[in-house]
Amino acid sequence: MIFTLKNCSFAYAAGTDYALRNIELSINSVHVTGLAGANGSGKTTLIRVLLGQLIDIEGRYVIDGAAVSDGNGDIVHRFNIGYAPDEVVLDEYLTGYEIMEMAAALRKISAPDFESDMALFTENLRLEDWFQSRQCRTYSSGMRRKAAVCLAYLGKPAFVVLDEPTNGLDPLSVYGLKQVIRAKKEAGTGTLIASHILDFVEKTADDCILLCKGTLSYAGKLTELVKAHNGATLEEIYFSLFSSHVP
Amino acid sequence: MPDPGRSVFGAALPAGSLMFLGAIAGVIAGADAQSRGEPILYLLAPAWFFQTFLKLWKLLRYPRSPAWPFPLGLSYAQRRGLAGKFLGRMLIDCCVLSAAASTAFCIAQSMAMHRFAANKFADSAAVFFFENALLYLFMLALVAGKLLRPTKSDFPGLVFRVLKPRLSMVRLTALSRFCAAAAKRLLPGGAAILAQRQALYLLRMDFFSLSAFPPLALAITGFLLFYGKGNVGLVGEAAAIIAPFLLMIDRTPVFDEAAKKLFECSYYRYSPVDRTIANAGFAAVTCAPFAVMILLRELHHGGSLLWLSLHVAGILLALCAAALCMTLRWLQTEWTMPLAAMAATSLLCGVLACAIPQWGIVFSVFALGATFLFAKNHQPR
Repeated sequence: MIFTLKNCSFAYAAGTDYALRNIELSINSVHVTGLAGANGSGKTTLIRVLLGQLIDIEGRYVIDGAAVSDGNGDIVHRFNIGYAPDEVVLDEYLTGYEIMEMAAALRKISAPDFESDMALFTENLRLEDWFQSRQCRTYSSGMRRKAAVCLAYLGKPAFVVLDEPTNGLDPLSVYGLKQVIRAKKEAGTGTLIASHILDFVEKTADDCILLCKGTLSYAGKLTELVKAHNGATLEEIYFSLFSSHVP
Repeated sequence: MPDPGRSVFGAALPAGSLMFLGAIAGVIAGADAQSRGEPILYLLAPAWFFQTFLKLWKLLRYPRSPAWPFPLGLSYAQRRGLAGKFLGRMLIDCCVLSAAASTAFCIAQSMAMHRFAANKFADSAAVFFFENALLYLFMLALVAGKLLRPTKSDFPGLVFRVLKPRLSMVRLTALSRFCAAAAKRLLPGGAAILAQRQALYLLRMDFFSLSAFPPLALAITGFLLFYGKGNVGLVGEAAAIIAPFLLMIDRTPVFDEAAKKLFECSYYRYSPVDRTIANAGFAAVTCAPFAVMILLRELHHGGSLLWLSLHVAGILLALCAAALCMTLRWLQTEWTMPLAAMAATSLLCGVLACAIPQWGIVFSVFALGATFLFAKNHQPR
């Protein structure tokens, strides 16, 4: 599946500055793509555009060659996209495991696939007793993040979007998250990772999108970006590109 | 000028209006010696009981919100002080005021109906007082059993001893899982999962009210149906239709939150059809005990089984239509005018189904059909 934005711009209200301006990019659903940018650069807006949560976009949004113009988050369901937003929303009075079970049943995921996913998540994201026994309202921010990531990857989604997935995670879980992303990539599910942690992006992503104040600075292979900057790290590249823009 | 929605006077207005209307109805009934005055009393009784129960419940859960006439005349500071006292003691204090008020109301109405026949109004007053006392004893038992308690969130800014629930989190989790599993078995496919989720969420969010209100509604309705014998057929059936409405309208914040959360959780993927089936199933389960009770009563009184079945089916369908409207409400973000109109129509059809013994089912079928069409065409997602 290829997500393509052609000369897309978006403003939250008429007469205000554009949150995204003339974006032209393609995202392959089997690749892991990193999305980086400063605060307010338009990362979350871009994600919301890709998920069809924002309407009135200027330009064209195409998925697999077919134009998309749909609000209300329907794209997530129609194209089987997993999404873990920055602000995690969970069914507060249910346990993480109960939510997973119900989400799996509604998505008609077979029992072996469910068990296999749970084993992967439990091992790498360190889901302990709390996941089965405690209601989500008692979770810490890291626990909530883990639950959201698990729900996004549950089953075989065509593509997964993670917004700031490392927020609140301990180092072991960050390492585990990388393993999950890689395992799912091998199974054919790519990921779009929006993150400030450039080291995390560099170590997991194949492709990279850099945003600055709503405009696209780079979209393409991460290796090519590194090569063009003489083997510098993504952090160094980012600093050299944006240090004059970031207050 | 105090805000009518906030002041004790404004909040007491509905209760006062109810009393006033009851007295007027009693006078009208009493003006005609041939009229059946007694059912008027019973017609008002369920509304009275449900409202008393609900307001008591609110007072105990949210003592600072002035929602009932018994704190009438108390200042804000006094009410706040009252809230800080031991709940059982407070309940007894309130009981005296409430029982006195209801008994006075009852005596006034009965006097009007029975042209001041002392033996009649004494009977009615005694029954009313006795029923009130039972209700309060029940509430008192709940407090004593620590099933009803104030929490910190009920007392913002106040230091208050939070009583521990007797039902531990582990037991509650297990119990809600059991109930949710039962709910799941009643429906097919995706609807079953939605019903399971709804049961889990609601039971854990507000276990007591969700588990106590429906049985209480049944108990009161049953009492009215069987206590009144031959006099309250239509009135009892109408009360049976109104009862779930009164209870569920008061619980809407709970359902609102559960519904809102369902919308926000994008990882639940379901079709509008599944959700409608889940709602209809929930409505049918809620209403079935009322219909069974009416059937038992009709069987007790005798009559043709065919017509009897039609009559009861008509009432059940009307109840389903009404309850389905309520479940639609839980899944809407706002109480829209078309939905309100639909709910009112369903209620009317339910009453017509009660009033027309055999062919009343026609109204119910129309009401249910219209509600389904409405549900189909008003899917938020």
